[in-house]
Amino acid sequence: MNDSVIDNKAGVDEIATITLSAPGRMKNVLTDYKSSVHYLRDRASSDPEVRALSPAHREAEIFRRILMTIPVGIIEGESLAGDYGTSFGDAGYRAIAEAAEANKKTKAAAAGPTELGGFLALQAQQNGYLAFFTRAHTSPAYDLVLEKGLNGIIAELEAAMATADDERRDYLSAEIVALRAVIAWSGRFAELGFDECRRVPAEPAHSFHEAVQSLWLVHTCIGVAERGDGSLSLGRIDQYLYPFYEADRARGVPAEDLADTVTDLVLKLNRYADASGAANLGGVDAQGNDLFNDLSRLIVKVCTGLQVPAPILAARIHPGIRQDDFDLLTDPRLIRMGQPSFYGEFSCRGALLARGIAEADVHRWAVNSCMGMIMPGEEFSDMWGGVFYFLLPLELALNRGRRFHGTLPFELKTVAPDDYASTAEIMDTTLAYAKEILAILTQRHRAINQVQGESNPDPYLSALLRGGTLGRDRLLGGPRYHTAVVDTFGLVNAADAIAAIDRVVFQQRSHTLQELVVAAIGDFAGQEALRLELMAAPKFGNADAAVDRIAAELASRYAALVRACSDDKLAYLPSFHTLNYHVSVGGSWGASLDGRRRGEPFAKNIGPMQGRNRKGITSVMSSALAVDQKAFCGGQALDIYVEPGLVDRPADRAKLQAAVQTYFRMGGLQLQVNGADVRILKDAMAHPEKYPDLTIRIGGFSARFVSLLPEVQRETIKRFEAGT
Amino acid sequence: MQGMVFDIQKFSIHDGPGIRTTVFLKGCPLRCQWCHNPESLKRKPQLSFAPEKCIRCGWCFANCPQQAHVLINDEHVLLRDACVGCGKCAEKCYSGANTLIGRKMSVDAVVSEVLADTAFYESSGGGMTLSGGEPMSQFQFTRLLLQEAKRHGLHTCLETSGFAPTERFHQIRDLVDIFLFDYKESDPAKHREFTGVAQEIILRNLAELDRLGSRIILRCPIVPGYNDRPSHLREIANHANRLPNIFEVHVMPYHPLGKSKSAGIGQEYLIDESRFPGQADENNWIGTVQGMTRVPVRRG
Repeated sequence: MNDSVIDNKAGVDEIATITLSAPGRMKNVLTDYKSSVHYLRDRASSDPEVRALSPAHREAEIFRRILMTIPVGIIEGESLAGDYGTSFGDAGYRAIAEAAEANKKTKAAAAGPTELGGFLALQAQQNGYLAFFTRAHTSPAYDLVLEKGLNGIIAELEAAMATADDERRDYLSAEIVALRAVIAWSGRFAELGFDECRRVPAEPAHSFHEAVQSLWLVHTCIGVAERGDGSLSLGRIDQYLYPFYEADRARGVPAEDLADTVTDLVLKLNRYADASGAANLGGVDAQGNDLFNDLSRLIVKVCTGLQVPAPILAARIHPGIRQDDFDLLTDPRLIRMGQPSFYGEFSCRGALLARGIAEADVHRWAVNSCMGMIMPGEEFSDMWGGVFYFLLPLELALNRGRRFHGTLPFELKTVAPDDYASTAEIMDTTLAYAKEILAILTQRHRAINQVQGESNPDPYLSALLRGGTLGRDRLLGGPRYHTAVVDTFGLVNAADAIAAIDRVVFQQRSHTLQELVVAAIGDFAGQEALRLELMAAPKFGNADAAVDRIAAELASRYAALVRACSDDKLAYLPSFHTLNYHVSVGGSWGASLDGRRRGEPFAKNIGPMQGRNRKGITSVMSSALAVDQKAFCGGQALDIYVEPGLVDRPADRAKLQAAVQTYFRMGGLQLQVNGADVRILKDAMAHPEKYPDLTIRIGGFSARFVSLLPEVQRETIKRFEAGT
Repeated sequence: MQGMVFDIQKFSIHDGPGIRTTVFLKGCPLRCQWCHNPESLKRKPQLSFAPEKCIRCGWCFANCPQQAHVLINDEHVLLRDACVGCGKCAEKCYSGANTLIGRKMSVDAVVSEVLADTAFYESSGGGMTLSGGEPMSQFQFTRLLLQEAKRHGLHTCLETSGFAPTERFHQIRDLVDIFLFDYKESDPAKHREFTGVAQEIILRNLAELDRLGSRIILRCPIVPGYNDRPSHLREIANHANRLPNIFEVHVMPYHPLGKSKSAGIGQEYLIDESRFPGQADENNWIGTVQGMTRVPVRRG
């Protein structure tokens, strides 16, 4: 089946000698599952019989109908059941489903931006904030499913029905309908010849393959039930699957077979949903023992070989991680792909403790999606619960209560003074506005959440998120924890702006604040000298205390404001998470007093504004560490870029590892490491202002790439193309 | 006391073990024809002029005490002969057209900047590297920097051409954990031709440091058409074999990246950049030297 080489020694050696002919296995299989899910949902939703049901039963019935009628099939050469979609239907069905999808897309496009970045940009312009609701993005209790089987969970729910009130009884029975639907769906694959599907996921799994089979079927159904499949995460997969892996190894199941099973799962993960679901690797248990095990190693090896985007490998780093394992995680083939995402095991725990998770529980935390830190199986995390644009309150503070462009759909009580004597006063007013906007945002979010919970419940997912009250929806008290992240754009730009104001207005006194505001509103037209003067002020990302202090203070006070919006049912978690939307959102925002021109991106995550860091990654990290990241329990990523070829040299890779460990030891939460490659060099030639810090090493010394003459740059690129 | 510094580079990973901060001191007694830091040669501050960045704000035209900045036919011209490197034009040049290379810094100012990355040194076995230019030509400053670094428990490296009075090496030897010692050309006549100085004192200092037990990495730039000769490669290996405290050899394939910097400071560039070493050449040099010595040979 593949080119494996098996060594009969047990343990790590065995894994090390397995070679997977993985790239050949990554077939381009089109399933077109979304068109089917949408079409079948719409069809079921419009049935009067379904509409007559209670919301929970309506959702459960729609879910059931989708699962029982969606075309299912087999992908040759794969051992896991669970492929479905329009492509498996007959010609007539395909025509209907595709037409419905095309129609849906047209309607959606007409209604406004369909891509999140465009949507955020529009909201930024129109409303200045966004109260939102995120589907999926979840890590349910897979361990429970594997241990008890869905029938075991059904038994628990049936028992709860005995003492439940009418409302909860209705919901509990809907949950049971949904779980039974997944069992019946599994039966459809049993009929296709997948014998394991007669047992799982109904019953507890009895082998590694059964466990992975159970996991896949249960996992992929969440996207169907949630009406969205973004960032469906796998939680502590290397932990809850490990007992099954270990038992199989002890029974003599060949390592090759186990590797094939993992490969089959990864192939499925890449065929459905998106590439933002996280698979946790490693960690530390309650006694302090390293949890990176042979299954963790196998998962990494499979993903390294397959070179696929999903899942996000969430590497949990701590001082006790084995060198071999750290080397595995920093394999050049992974780094070049932007994998893994590195998390500081203990710094992240610090953030969770600050959030209020009990000391005894915190070791069970998991990375969720691309940056969240949650308690898996017990938490619904609304990861884009709100979006806050930090430049807005700053503009209001600087422009006497008016934004630089346009108006706001609400009125605020804070009164901005006509003038300021210091940046401290500017910060106070900015945060006063922030407080008011956050109140509006979270109030709106609560209302949306309530409507969602009542009108669009998800009994399936709710059955798999525990710890609160059985028989309540995932949004209305089902899980033990309910959190909503307030993603915040533009904090770094605001800090840079205030540092620039301090330098230009209060220290050098070369311009008044009013002049700066007018210039920015005019997009610095005819004022390039003034703009460059603002640009010359200290910038975040260069370990400059003047601006780092401002960023730290703004961040801490803002974080406290967000947290203060929480109540005992719903906790609001601050984060400066932008993904790549800092580009589109910045695209719709006017010029700002940090010297940013209209339409230029905002800073990404907690990193410097593009083009402003000039002192290498340790300085970028130092600036990010000036912010108290414990307060950012919504998660906080920092992107760093390393010179091409660095991870290919073992000695230099060790230095990167040291830098990563240091960042986490000093309180950083998450690092995205990007290995610069030829594409970046080419982009740097075309847009040097984006890469002042890009360093290359060639022929005996290091040089800033953008400072080289064009012919030298071209030559360098040629060498990289030839060499790498 | 103050010294003339032209750069402080953080996250240096090629100037000694671990993560380091490299302090580049201005001024060098050599004039290597292939120098990739031409702005490091003269002690005095120099203006780097990039007219394409000028936004015509007019400040330097009005404020240069030497009136060295002029507008001729709408072109911003720097009258280099009139420029004394005072840096006034760079003070308020926010476009980056005028940048002054080289500034006076106190020992405390330098070391406090170096100390900012202490956590990274600790985790990686890194520290401070002094380079340049030739740090030994600002000897007092170099010595004080090393002393202060040691007072803070930092690991120290010194990158040097070796061209300085032997007595000076004696004085700072105990403050340096690793010498990154250049070995540029083995033939005496060629050495003077390519670097502008005689090699004897360099070889004597190398031998002396080795005799006294200093740890040495031999750094060997290989420049096509100049020293890429089998006889020179053999001499590199011979030194590594003869001197037991040379624990690593770094072969640095020459690359004409210094050209960009030369243009900025108005210096003519000597090397013919069409002689660009290929990957095969580099592998060949490294392989050749490694074949003649047991000391590890790496690409620098």
